[in-house]
Amino acid sequence: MTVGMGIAIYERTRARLDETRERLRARELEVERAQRLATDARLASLESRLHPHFLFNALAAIAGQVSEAPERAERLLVELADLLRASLDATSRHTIPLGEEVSVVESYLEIERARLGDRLRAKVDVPEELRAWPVPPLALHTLAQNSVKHVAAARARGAEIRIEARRAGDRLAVSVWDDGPGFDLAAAPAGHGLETLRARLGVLFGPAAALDAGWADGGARVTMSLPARVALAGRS
Amino acid sequence: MTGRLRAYVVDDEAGVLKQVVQSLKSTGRVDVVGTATSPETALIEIPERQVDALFLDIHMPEMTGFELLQRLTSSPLVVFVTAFDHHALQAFEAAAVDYLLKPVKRERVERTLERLESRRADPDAAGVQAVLERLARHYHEARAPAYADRISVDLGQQRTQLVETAKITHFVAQGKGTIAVTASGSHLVDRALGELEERLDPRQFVRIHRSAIVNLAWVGEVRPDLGGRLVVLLKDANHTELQVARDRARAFKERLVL
Repeated sequence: MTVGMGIAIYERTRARLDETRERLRARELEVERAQRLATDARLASLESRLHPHFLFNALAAIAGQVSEAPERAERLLVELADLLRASLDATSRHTIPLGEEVSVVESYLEIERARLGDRLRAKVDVPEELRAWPVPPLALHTLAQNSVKHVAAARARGAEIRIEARRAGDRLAVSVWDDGPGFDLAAAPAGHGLETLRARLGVLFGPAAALDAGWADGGARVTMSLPARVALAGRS
Repeated sequence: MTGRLRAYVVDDEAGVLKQVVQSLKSTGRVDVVGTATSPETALIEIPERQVDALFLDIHMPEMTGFELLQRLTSSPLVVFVTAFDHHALQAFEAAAVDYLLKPVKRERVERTLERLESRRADPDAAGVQAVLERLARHYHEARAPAYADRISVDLGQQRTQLVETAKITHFVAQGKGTIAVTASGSHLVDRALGELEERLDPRQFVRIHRSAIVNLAWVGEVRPDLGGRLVVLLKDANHTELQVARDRARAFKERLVL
């Protein structure tokens, strides 16, 4: 009887231990997966940012400014440095303040503008009070790049691009709108920047985050909505 | 044609176009008679402006540099300008008067201008038509070879089997056919050695003798024999030795970069 009870207690304790171990393991896996996805994003971003076509054309555009507008050339070089640094740093943190991400995006847009001239007409509207909101590094950049690459650089008439952040209840909604033909998010191939971003959001925020593409104001809009906290415990 | 070279520059990226133009102007040797970020504009303006030399970007939305050349009604000398084209530079080099990489280096432009000057006398050899033909030939050649990665061998009694070429250490002529040798055995191939040679990737398979083709991946050692002839030692279990014909030794060494 005593022995029987002992065994029962032992069995229950072991079951609980196993369960805890399982949970820990699941958590570890999740963290691992988050890190892997962040690495993927960093690689994807590095690849596109260090993509020879981007980099050499950016350098040519900056070189073209040196004699006529040396100050602009200098600023562009610093922006390019910031952009490269942001790509290299992207895995060191799960999230960064939106304000930081916005300045990366502004550096990026400045360089693309130096290349494309008035083919790129971009506006960024991010209220001050939302700039501390945690967002995955390079998330907004991925969205902006998508519009520049597939609309502004792909058409002779270029593109209007609007980047906005709004608060929607307890969530942050960051959207990138362009006057392009739009696309089907579901059709984005695996490894595509947006697909990687969606996976990252899922791991960091769970079902509380979303990435949606749709049509609005005669153009296409991709919206990323995020809760105020990451779901991965002990991480920020 | 005499006088200063009349140049026209096309690049869809305004900022980049500026740098190319500046590098040309800095030489003091050319007149840039026009520029365009739109290929459509370029198609109209180039024939109107008696352009001697066209500096042409290749990657442009809506119309690539090649398409522009196909539709162009005049025939200036062509210089390709590109940010990065890993595989195509060779083609550009062969097809056009020259190519330039962005950002464009001023010293490099001088060389291009010298080439342009020397070609001006002979526009037929370097004009648009010639460029297009050479490009077409290059891409045709680049596309055509779909080398075999498997070869069917005869097992007798009308049975055949597919053998991966990577597993074949060498081929030896045998009567009207060929023997394909793998680590596991020899197989009869119902084709002449010369015919097979054409179907095999030349980066991997080299004809070393009238009667033998060797798979470079299986070459372990190359050494001269007592008579001074080259002998190839394979990495197979038998350490097969193959002789390299005298008249093929030199080409073979070059392939191995000995």
